[in-house]
Amino acid sequence: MERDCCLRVFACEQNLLSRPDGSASFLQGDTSVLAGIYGPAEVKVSKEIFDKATLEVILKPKIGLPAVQEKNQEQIIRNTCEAVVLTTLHPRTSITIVLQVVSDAGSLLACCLNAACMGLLDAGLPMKSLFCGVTCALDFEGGITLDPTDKQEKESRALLTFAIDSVEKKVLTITSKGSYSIEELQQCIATSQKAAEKLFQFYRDSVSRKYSKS
Amino acid sequence: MAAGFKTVEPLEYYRRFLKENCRPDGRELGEFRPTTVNIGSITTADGSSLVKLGSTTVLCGIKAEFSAPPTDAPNKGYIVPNVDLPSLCSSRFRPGPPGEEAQVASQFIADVIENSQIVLKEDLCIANGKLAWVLYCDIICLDYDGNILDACTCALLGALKNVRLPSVKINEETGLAEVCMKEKSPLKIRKNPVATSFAIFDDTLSLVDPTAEEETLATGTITIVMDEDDRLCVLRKPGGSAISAEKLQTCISRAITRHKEVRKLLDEVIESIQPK
Amino acid sequence: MRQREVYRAGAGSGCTSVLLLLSKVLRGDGRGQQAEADVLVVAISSPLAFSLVFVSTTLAFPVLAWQQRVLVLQMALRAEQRVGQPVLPGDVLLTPLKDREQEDEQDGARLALRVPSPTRLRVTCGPGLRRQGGSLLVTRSGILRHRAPSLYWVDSQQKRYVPVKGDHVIGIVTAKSGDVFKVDVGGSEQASLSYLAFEGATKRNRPNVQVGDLVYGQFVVANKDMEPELVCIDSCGRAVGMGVFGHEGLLFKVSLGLVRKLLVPQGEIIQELGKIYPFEIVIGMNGRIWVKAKTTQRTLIVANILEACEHMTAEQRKQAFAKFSDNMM
Repeated sequence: MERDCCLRVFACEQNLLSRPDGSASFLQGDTSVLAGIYGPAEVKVSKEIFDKATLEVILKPKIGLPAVQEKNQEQIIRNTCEAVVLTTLHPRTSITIVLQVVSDAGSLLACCLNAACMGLLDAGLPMKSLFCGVTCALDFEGGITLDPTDKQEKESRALLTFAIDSVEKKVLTITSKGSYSIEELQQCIATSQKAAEKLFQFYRDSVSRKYSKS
Repeated sequence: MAAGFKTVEPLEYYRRFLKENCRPDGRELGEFRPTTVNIGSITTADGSSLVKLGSTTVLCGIKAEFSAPPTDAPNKGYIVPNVDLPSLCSSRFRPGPPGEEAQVASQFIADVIENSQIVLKEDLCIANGKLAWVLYCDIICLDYDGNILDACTCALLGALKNVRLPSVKINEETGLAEVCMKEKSPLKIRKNPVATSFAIFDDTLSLVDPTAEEETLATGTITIVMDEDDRLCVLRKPGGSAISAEKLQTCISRAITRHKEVRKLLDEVIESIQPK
Repeated sequence: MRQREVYRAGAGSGCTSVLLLLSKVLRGDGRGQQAEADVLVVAISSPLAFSLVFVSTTLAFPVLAWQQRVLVLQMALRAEQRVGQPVLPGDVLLTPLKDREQEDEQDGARLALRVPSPTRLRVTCGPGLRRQGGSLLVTRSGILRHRAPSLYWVDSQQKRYVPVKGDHVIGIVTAKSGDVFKVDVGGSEQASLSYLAFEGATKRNRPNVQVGDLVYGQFVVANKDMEPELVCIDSCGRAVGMGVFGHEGLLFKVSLGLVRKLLVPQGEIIQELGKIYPFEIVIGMNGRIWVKAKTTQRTLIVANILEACEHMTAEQRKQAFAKFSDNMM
């Protein structure tokens, strides 16, 4: 179990871009994602929603144009953010989250989710809780590796990514690759919930650091 | 009166029903809409199926073609799934390039094929490094009334079970492929993945097989794809309200029973078209 | 049938012991029964060397007990204890007790077993807080601030401005349409400004406002569902400093946090800066600052100093100003 609960080194820098309303770069080992958040800003009339803000996520891969895979991930990230951001407080506005993959060395979706959350925090958008992304890899012996590298991802039998909320530690988002049993799923959820505690503590520390300066 | 109430306060309208443990269309919370499957109705395709879940109608056609196997895996063939949501099926879709929902559904079907290993790609290889089958699985929605993913998965499985590929031999002398149209054999279906979707209502209630209306009012959705060994192939919960591990477990139990229902239905349909 | 257990714990580990107790209670009490527990926690926050935590378990009042479980969970996050500390979205703060009850609580700290009273002080939620049942939910990251008697808010560093009624802002006139001007204030929607909302303006005597002009005005309408509306007069029809300004000078953008820092009543930054050399300044709550000094060079210097103030402590700032005024001499 010792090995199981081990996340790679993670780091985060907030407010590093001058133009967006909020920005963050999140590092997990060698995986790095840069997030820029604009909002609440003016919205296109065609996308306007009368009782809540229009949330948009744009995921830019490191190379090439966004494909179907990115569209799928964009939808997952958008729905996750919609679950926590209080969009009803800013009706008829747009909130745009732009995620740029800087380097992909495994657990990319989890890193994107973390970068998006830190960006939203930096932009000061109202949220009812925080969330974090955790990836688990199941190997052939049934062991769980948290926050796998790209090499571990390739060697794994199944790969699960969760988004976990900070208040009740419940699961907001699940996506998976490969097949696995129900027990393995429940184990992965429990392990990720444990790992989420660490990430939330890290969130708290980095916000404290940001505000200790002022 | 009721219609007016529904227009003004759709959410409250639903809540009143759900409090009584039923839905406006008369179903219980854990009840699927009547499912009908029609297999092999398109004679020009190599395999086809039409699936109806209530009024949601999905058509899957499979076309087999020859191609050279990929260079990095010379012993494999291809399966190319595509989900099309034309503007015909619902007013929410516009003509033009596929929208987000269609792309997400395509990715989902690709994940189902990849993760469950319905058909081993090695089975599609005819001659190592030279010739392989490409299965184009085109899924078209004809009527959109929610729970598109379940219908698509079911249609895909039905159509794959219907595929009859002619036997192909490589002529030693000429090196050309000879197709024997008289000898047709079915594909080897390794797994039977079945999807079950839930809509989460007010963070607590889960409704199985949501209609389009229920999907828009819901606070989240979950799709669980199980195979016959009770293993999960795809678990998709894109955001929405948070769910506890226990709640997820009850959803999975429902998915297991659904798997048995669909399996039985498909077997019956295949049985019925067999003695032709 | 009532059983009591007494726990002693150091004051520092008060919260930990509460959580331990809580987990014990939530699990049931080991007698193999689905026991609901009535948990009374007294004096967690008291400055005593030892805090006494009393737990009495009862099977009689499951509903009551459930409510108290929730209360105990939140005990660890009392609003008045978090003032001045960073908070994150999702944190739940318990509203402070009424004065009388606080006394009661301290008196009772020794032994009294008392159900924490649900009547709590009515508080006013400022930015970044929302009411959730009887407690406060934090929705924005930042430092929790408090002003007596009962105002709480979260002080956060933001860049995007959201119009608030009564705020004074700097806007840029972008269009004239009929009787109103459209003014860009940096929010999600352009504000409207009636041509009658200037000092001395009448239907015949229109104010001279051109597209591109800067205006300093105040919001009279600003809510999420309506177009924000600016005016350049107060309720008596006087300009009191508002109106079109700035045909020279420099407009620049800073974070909203810095603007609030500059506009603190009796704020030192502007006064100290004014001692070095004279300049004109207009500060809008929307993060825009306009400055004009005698020469362009001096204007730029002021702008740069103000921007640099964001990340300086008062001490660092004084040193920097002293050095700077020496150079100017």
